Amino acid sequence: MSANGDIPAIDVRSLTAGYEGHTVLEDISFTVRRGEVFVILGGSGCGKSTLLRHLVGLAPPISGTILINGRDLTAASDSEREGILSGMGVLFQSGALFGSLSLADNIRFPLTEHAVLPAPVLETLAGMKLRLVGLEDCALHMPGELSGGQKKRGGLARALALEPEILFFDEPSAGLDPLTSATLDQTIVNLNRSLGLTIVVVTHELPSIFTIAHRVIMLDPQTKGIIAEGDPRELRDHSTNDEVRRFLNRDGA
Amino acid sequence: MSDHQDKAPQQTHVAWDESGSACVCAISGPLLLPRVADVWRALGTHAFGARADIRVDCAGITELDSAGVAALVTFVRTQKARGHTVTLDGLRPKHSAFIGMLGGEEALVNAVPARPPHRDTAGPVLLTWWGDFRDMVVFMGRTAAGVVSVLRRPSAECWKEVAHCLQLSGPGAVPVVCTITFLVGFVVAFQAATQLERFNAQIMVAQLVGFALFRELAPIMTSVIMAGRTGSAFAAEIGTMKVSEELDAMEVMLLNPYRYLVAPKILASLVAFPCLTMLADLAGLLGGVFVGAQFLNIPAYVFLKESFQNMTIGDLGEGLYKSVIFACLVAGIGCLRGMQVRLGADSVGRAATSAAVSGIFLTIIADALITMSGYML
Ligand SMILES: Nc1ncnc2c1ncn2[C@@H]1O[C@H](COP(=O)(O)OP(=O)(O)OP(=O)(O)O)[C@@H](O)[C@H]1O
Ligand SMILES: [Mg+2]
Repeated sequence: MSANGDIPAIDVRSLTAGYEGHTVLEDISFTVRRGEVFVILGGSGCGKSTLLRHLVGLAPPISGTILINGRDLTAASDSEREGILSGMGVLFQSGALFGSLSLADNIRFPLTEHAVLPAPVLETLAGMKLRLVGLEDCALHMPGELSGGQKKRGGLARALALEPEILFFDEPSAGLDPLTSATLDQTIVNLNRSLGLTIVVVTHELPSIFTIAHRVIMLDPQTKGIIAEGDPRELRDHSTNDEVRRFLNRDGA
Repeated sequence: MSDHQDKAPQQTHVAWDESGSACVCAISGPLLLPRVADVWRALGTHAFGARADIRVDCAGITELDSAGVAALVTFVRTQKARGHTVTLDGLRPKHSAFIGMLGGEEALVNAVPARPPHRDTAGPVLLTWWGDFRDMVVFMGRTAAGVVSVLRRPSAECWKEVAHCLQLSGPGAVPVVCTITFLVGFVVAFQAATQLERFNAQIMVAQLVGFALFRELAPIMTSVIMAGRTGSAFAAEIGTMKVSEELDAMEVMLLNPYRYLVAPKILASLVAFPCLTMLADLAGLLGGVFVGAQFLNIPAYVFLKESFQNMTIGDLGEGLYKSVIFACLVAGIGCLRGMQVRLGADSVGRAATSAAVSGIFLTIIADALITMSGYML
């Protein structure tokens, strides 16, 4: 834990979020501690992606505040916002690589725009980030030539390029084979252990949850709130909420 | 209908009995898809008193499918919403279980669930216009800021994108622009010749073609072609990036899409449009020359001499000035439509279409305004 370890990495206070005409989440509060892997769970359509979009400042909340490292994202001026966002990396559900740039250029692009680096150093750096996700052989491929899993890993390499302190993943293992998905989980655990990154993950995959998560919250579409919070193993075995136990035990009955 | 007939051989009846305090409606026979329309008509045309107590006797229903369930549930909901009380009686257990499975039980037993607010499609046209206008103002501000930021703080990425756009929109458009303006020049010369023949002033064709092309037709035709070709491509490109979360990714990496996507497209168009317009001028003139030489006995050099003698550099200038304005409009509306894409691949298609149509529309309007203001001043 760093010196200001008592300030949570993310502090969400009575957030109400939604889209024109309807709310998806109502009055939810939670904190993500520094250096933990935090997983957001819930059935399809319960608002996980929506919550994530709010956490990274892509959508303004209807009400409530979101503090990132103690700084208010919701009320920030443009320059403050830039300061807050520069500490974040996001891996989108589909990778969101820029289709007109090669994989290596995708990683170089944000770097050249935010930092002054000599070209050869940039080259090495991009190569290193790609090696981190096992894509060093695909550097010159265009995103269209990559498989779904490779796109996701490419997106991860790009998200890591700007040395974020907090990483967000939207369904990193959706659509991946079990092996690739397990490798990605291992990458997440490694990033968390070796670099001390705070990681927020949206996922459905039970094996992933139990491998990576320190803590989880589970969202519920009926109450539009959080129905469970805590250690996933603890919740699986001892949650008082039936649905939470069934979700974590994969019990459809 | 006929192929459903064997499935529902029995007749379905709806009988009303209003002798008691409650209004009893007995449905008998199979309530299946082919019968639903009839049953619904029988239910819907019945007139109730104020706050009636309606009891639907379902004991006679022999068969029930999802369409039948939907009819029953809808009937209950609408009547409840009108303030009547409705109960379903005598349902067979397997039918009520089926209704429950389809999520209709709630509507049958409890009060009407709140319906989602009805979206009026005709009402907010003005609102969308207002929204469109607001989007446009915001868009213009951000684009201007993007262009300024590219010019003040140029970076390799931006210029690469400019070159990329220029390559896409420039050379590829040359054949179609030249062909079309050649034919336009041809047609204008032909039409003019048949009119001027009456005054024995066929030599004036050269002057007329040159004048019309340089001031009006070349810039307009170029812009119309580019609206269909490039404006829609810009919209599709940006819209696709929006749908695939690439714009979101740019935003969280603090890369301003107006600087890296929109401004380069505008800058590239500012180069491409005037260049293409000049080529269009030449191609159109060639069309005129062709008509002159083939049909009017005006040799090519006489035609060209006539054209250029009567024109000033100002005529060329006006055409190019217009083409610069059109470049901003067509590229701008293309990018705006792309940015307005919200969800789904189908909205990308719509954005592309709308970019082309709006681009053409704006071109013609702007042309009229520019030409008119030229006369007034
Ligand atoms: N752009 C949008 N406009 C309007 N409503 C939306 C939009 N995006 C999502 N929604 C609605 O918000 C709700 C939550 O969606 P969200 O994408 O957050 O779900 P999710 O939990 O991520 O689901 P999944 O696990 O399937 O990805 C859904 O009911 C959806 O219909
Ligand atoms: Mg989602």
